[in-house]
Amino acid sequence: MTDQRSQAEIVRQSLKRRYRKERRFRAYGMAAIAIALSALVILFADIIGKGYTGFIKTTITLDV
Amino acid sequence: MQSANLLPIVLVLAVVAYSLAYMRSRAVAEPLGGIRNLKSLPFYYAARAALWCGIPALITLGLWAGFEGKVIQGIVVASLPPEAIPESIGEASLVVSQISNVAAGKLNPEFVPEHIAGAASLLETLRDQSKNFKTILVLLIAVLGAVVAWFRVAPHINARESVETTLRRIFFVCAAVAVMTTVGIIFSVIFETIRFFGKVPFWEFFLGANWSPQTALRADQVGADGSFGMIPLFTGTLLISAIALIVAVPVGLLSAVFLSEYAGKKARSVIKPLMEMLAGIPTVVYGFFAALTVAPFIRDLAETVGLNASSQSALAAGLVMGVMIIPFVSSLSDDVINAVPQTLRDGSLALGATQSETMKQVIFPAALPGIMGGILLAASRAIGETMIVVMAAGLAANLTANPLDSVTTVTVQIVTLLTGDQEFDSAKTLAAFALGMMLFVVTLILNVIALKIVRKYREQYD
Repeated sequence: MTDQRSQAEIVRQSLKRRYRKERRFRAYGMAAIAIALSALVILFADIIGKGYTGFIKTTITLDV
Repeated sequence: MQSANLLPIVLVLAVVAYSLAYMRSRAVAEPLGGIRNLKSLPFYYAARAALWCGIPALITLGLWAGFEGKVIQGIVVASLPPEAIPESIGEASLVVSQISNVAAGKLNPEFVPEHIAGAASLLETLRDQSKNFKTILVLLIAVLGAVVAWFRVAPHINARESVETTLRRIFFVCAAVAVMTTVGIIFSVIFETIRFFGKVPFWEFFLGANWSPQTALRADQVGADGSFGMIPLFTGTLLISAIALIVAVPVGLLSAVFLSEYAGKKARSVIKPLMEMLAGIPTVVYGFFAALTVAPFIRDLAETVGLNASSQSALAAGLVMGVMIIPFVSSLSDDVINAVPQTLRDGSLALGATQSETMKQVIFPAALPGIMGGILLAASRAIGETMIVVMAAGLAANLTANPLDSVTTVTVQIVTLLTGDQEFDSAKTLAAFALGMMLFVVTLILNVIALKIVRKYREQYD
């Protein structure tokens, strides 16, 4: 009986650490997806930002 | 008749043969008491008739079309008077093109020597004859095949077996074409590589640390001799690929894990296609993104820290390439992780492991071969990538391990070697084949090593 309780005790003591690890791992995954998607966003923003002027034509009409 | 017109006619004949044989097999079966007394279904008699009608005729057509030109050309050249028979290969092709130009009406027959004009008219009559002969022969074979098949529609003949055998042969030919293409590519590269090593010593190419393939364009021109040391190119390739993989493998793997184990169905259905979009963007777009946005940004960043960076850097090319190959790693790993049996997952969780422990200690080892496959695919994309490197990493063959320096890769050099206007048998052009060969060998070795690693560390559960 005492043996079992001490085992449960050991597991309980380690739980906090293991849950922290779990959260960290999850955060890594989210960060990875964030990196990939932000790369996509930056790429599109850059191309659109640099490229939109190609579709704009400015004309000035002057009275001479 | 033209081969292009003959082709649909043969196909129509095959269809006709099919329907005739089908009807005949029914007619043969009628007095016997239905088609169940035939050895094969009517479909097989019909299919056999179509195959016998079409395949020999098409093979004849193909062979004829393939050898027609060569044979006619040989006859025409042999008909030339003895003093006009060309001596060298170049002269022969000149004479032949002159003859065919006259025959095509592009050249006025009055302006060429008499024997050329004579040969041209011979060429025309031969072509006409060949055309007629071909039409008759092909149609004859098609009809003959159909007729033979028609007479062999009999209750005791097993048509199914012969159709199956023919189909098996057709599949075999298809498979052989794929294999022969690969073999042909390898051999053409090997032969040119051997020619290259006839001009440049093997060890100079293999161990030389200097790459500058500038050779004289003409024999009498003053020019550098050119040095063909492949070491700078391979270090460049390895440097850029290593940077790309350092970006892509962790990001791709962790996203795959998150997507398959943590993300909800809804988030997954949005994020996965978005990530796969990264693989669908053309490499040219990545190239100018790297060259115009990332590379200057890295240069400015390095300068604020006090480092000296060139505006074309291996780091820029590697980073952008890494982004490009993220989906290769993530998508394949995701599929493989999903394919791991649910029982393994449930067992691990039931024993009290957290999700991340399950992932790291149970699912990852089980999915290792597939994950390795994804990484390998990504690595071979990185090694073979050209456009990003041309634009963002430069053309200078520097032997350096500094990622802020400009480097060049094997593929980029192959492009620049083959797009010049050198004659084909110069060392400069042939070097491209030697580089291609080395690239092929290196990727092959990488594959073998990866397979070995997978076999060693894989956990086999089923």
